[in-house]
Amino acid sequence: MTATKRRHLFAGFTLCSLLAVAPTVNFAQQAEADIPAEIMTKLSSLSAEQMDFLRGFQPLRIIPTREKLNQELDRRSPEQIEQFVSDMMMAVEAMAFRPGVDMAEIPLNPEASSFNGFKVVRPQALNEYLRDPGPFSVHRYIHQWGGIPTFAGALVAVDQADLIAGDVDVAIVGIPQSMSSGSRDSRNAPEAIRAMHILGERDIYSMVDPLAALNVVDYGDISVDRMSVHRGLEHAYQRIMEIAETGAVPFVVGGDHSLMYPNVKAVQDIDAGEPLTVVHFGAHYNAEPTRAHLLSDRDAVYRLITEEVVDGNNVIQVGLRGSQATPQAFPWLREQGVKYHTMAEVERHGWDEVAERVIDETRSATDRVYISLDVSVLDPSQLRAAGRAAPGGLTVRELAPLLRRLCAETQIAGFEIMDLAPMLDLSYVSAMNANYMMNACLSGIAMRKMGLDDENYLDPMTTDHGQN
Amino acid sequence: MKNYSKKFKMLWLIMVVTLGAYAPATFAQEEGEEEDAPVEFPASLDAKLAGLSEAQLAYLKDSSKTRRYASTTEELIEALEKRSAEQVAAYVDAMMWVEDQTGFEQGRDMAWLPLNTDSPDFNAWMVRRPRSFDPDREPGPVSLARGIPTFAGAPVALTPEDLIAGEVNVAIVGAPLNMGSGWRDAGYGPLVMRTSGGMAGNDQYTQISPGRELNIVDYGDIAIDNDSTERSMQHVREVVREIAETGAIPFIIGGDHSLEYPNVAALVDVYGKGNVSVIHFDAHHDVGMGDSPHHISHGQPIYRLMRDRHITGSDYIQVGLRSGGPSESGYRWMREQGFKYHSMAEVERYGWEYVMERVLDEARRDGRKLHISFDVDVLDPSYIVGTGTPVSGGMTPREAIPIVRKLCAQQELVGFDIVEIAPALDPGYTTALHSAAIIKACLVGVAMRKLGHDIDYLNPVTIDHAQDNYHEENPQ
Repeated sequence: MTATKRRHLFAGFTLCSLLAVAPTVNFAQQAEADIPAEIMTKLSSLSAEQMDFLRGFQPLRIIPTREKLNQELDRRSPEQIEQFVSDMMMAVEAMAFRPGVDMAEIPLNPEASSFNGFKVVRPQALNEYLRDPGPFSVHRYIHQWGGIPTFAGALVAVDQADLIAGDVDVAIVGIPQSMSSGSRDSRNAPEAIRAMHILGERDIYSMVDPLAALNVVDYGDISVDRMSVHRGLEHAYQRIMEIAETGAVPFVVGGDHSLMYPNVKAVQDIDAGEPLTVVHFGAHYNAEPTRAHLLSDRDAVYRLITEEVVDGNNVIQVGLRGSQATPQAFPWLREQGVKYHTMAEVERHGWDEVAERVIDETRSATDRVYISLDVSVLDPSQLRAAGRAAPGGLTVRELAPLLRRLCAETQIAGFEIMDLAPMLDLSYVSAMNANYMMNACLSGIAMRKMGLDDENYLDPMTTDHGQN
Repeated sequence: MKNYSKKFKMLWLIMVVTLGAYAPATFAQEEGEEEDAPVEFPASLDAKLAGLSEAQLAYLKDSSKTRRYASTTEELIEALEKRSAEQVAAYVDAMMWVEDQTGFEQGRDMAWLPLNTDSPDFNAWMVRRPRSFDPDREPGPVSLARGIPTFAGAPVALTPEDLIAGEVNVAIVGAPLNMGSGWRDAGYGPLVMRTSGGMAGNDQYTQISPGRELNIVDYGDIAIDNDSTERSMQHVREVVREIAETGAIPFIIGGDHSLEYPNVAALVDVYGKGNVSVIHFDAHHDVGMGDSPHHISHGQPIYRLMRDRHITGSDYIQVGLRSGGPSESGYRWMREQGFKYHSMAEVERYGWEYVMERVLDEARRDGRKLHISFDVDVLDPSYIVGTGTPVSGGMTPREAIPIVRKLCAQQELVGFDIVEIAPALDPGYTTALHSAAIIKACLVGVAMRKLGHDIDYLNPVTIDHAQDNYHEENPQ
């Protein structure tokens, strides 16, 4: 398929640049290795090609270190080594795409009568009963307890006209996608978040009532193709764009972290002249370069940076500790200018110092900030329903103040909470803490609107019992 | 790369054309009976309809188009009456827009999902470990016997040579595919079935230990690309085929029900078209009927098998259906294709014993080599909590165990899969326990057949405390 055709197929929202990105970035940097003399004596029957292979980086795709490779060679006879090396070469070759054997693309069924059915938005004109635009309540009472669950118990908005008519500040929207590279259940996260309280409640630290200070709505769910990250991308992008266009801040409830790509791209594209700063909380760095699939939670950050949607210098990562980040990962992040803060850094300097540094970096980056929060950043004891849980994470009491401060002290253009897999938690705790994280940011946005954006503001009445 | 891409497209085109020739024939009848005469609108609407173009008016009069917005002509007229002329035009436009947006359009929509063929790891997920990487060993199953969990506590085999050397009867293999289910976790099915045991010990009903009567191995897991069901299919089919080619019976532990496609296709590869029949235990029909943008998912493995001409509807017996689908027209289509289906409605009417006897009778008359595809959601959610698409009102283990045992004893079993075990959804152990009991029931059946027992065999020592003549003295 030619590049032009591919661009055409993506019609405006193009991933063609993904294909231009050299995927071998991690491999090229390995130096050729010396082989110990005692092993060299056993290699005389190897061909020049086999010797080159053995000295190069390729064996390390199979045997993790030079030392272990040498051990493998050491315990084999020259004949066994010949077999071993030729098998390794075969295996490496088999890992790559085999033209004529492998599918270069995954065929879909264009005959399907509802090929795009998942993403066709219902036009208002088809409604049986007509209504004027604007957010509306799904509650019967002035003060409803329970009732139909919405995000934050907020009013409902269905389309862009509702957002405009309601002068909406924050539109909370679900994207029920379940393609996590860990446990897959994030498609049920929007339901779990809606069914739990905390979001929208008064924040006792700032004494701000976010629903009083802001016009908040539940913008429903954005529909995606459950069997393909790809097919839902463009639609998610357009729907997030549609929110951001009105000036409302999109609050996205994922979904797995692959959605970070269309979400960030939409919020960036809405104001192309104003670069976005992305603060990415998570246990995993999500910037793997070499996958057969063009987008997943494992490489969303890689796509955003290599496609220059965001500048690596404007990406801040907090809480990294998952084994996804190989030794090649950090040099790559550093080259891109990504400011990463691992849990190793927290172990060394303590959380307060790291958090302060994150705020400084965010404030001194660009004027628009996007927060991408993977629930794996929290410790599994406090949020066990993380699709890609990793031990040794942050506590709620560490993360919530930072989120509140970031959202109060910088200009938030978008927020997302990703990869909550409710089935992994039999209790209510994960859903509650996820709601609490969202409320920390929502309260921060309310504080900023109310002018309470001083450094580390806490309401004087709530601290020191306000008396002496 | 471009050239190869082109070749693939040609191949695909040929497939689509073949399919095109096949699909209309199967759907023609269903479409035929839905046609209606154009709607006649009352004169009171004339003024509002006057401004519409011919195309708009024709669309509005076509009840097959408007049905999804106004289910009856009366409702449609009501909807038009309350609208102004402009709103009526917007109403029709919106319907036409939805139709236009819903179908595939060349140039606007992707007909393929692109892959990154430049990735050096394109196939890394399925490259096999060469034998030379490990110390030399003779071919044959390797006993771990050190607490390392395997299916049925069986020794491990990794290659067809191991199966042949071990004269293996049953190779249990995991396929951790995790794409299809509603609640997704079937990828961990093989893991929980290895760690929970209970598959091959003594069976009290028959006093048969399948682990003793049969050569059983754990054949490891089949590699899966969990970002694409389609990419996983070919490899699963290869591995299931290589098991069956040795004469061993593959027991595939899923994974979601998409696996039924490569499993059955592999058996047809080995035993030939027309020689394999399938009994599908499931709350869902999983036929799919071909109208999905994706060619494979856990809801449509059977259509894919039919489309690719591995099997026909008349090769199928389905047991336990009770989900929202198929619709009435779906059932009609299945009937035309020759499916023998036994829904839970049928069990409500006739009782389980009767339905079971009927299934056994149908299988006996069929007499061909049999594959059993067992979706654990055929059992009631009270027994199988951990499954992705549970449906209330299912079978009990006391119903399922006998029918599976008897089928595996009665027929020449050539394949068995058990799918949709999702351990994260079950905080307890009962999902794994009941799944293992189903596998064991089949293994016992296979052993019964080998030992020459008839299908109703129960060990006389086990029943009637074997001491008196109660039944002779108290005839039923």
